[in-house]
Amino acid sequence: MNQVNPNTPQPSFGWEPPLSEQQLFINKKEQRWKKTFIRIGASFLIAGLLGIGYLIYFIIVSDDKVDEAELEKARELQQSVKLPIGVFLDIDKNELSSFDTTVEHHFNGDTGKIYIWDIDFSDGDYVQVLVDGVALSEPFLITSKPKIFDVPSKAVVEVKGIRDVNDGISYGITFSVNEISYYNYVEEQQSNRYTLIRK
Amino acid sequence: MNVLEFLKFLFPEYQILNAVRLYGLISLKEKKQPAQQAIMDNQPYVYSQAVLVPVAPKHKIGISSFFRFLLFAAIMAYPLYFITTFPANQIEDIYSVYKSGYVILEGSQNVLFFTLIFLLLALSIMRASFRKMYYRLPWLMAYIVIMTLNSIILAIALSILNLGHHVMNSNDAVTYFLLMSGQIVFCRLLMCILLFKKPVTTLGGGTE
Repeated sequence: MNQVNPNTPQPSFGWEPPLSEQQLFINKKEQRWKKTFIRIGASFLIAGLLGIGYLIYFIIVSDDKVDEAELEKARELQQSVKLPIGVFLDIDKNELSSFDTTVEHHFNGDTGKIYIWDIDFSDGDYVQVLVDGVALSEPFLITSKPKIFDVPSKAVVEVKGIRDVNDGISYGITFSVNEISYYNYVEEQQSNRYTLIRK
Repeated sequence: MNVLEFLKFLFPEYQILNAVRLYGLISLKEKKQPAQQAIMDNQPYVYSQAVLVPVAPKHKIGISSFFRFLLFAAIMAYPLYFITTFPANQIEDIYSVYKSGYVILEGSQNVLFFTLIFLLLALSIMRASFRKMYYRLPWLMAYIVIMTLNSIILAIALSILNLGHHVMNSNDAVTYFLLMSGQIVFCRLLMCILLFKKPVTTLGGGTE
């Protein structure tokens, strides 16, 4: 009876001879490349996930919990007492009209504050604030973060549009003397006037 | 380090050209069986055993690989367009901010675009079937890595320069311009060191 040595390699279809040193070198190199590529891919993935995290954080932070009814009222009247300073009004610029107004108040002090901010997405609009025709500062960028100025309680405050990126400049302005916010619209080189009168 | 090495260090973009020089714009070279490889390389190959090696199917540009290429092109179209045009646009914007004194705000939307292209690029690299395309186009990986890093550096640079122009004609403009120059030099140097130590190698026509 013929005994088969179990250690004898059995050639069969699909069986490959041992790899040459050169082929081993090539395979090793390919494996290294694959590893490098996957590492680069993983870096992109992590960066992408961080981006998603940032965007979610941005949405949560910028989501003001304000009363929708108040917002609707503010959009119609273009002024509000209850809405917070720096609110994002979410209004089409075509629906806003440009107006001048009188700010009547009972404030006894000599100076009050004004807060001015962009009620739309900040797109690079610049305005300048003038009090009785004199500029309070150089033209500045309006963002969602309010910029604060001291103004006399009896004066004419003028907001002049300096630079408009698209479709005019929409901004919010709050006077500390009567605590009313006005949501106004101005075009480049045009002005809105607010006359502060003590009653 | 001689002058040539120093230039290679300063301009890692050289690696893109090098990949093209080594493997060509498109490389369809197939991985061969050991014996075939040995014959091709003019090396002796010893058949120590009886060999019955199934012949590897030749690479065909069939319908499935054509559709795979189309899918890959669809995924890569936007990232490639973005990272190709973005650095030039940013340089133009930086010049425009410097000249006019008005900011160009792109911060939030840039985060959105970068997130999108990072995810698309990750998809194209992490999927084995898409990754094959990087072996067929040997310069692509180096191009993506280098241009993406350049884009990020310039996006950060513009947002730093913007900070100096929130109020017009203020002294902040000079401070932030210097800060931006420092940031560009520092980040670019960091990128050069990283890519000089670990070049973005690529495998022309290989398979896994």
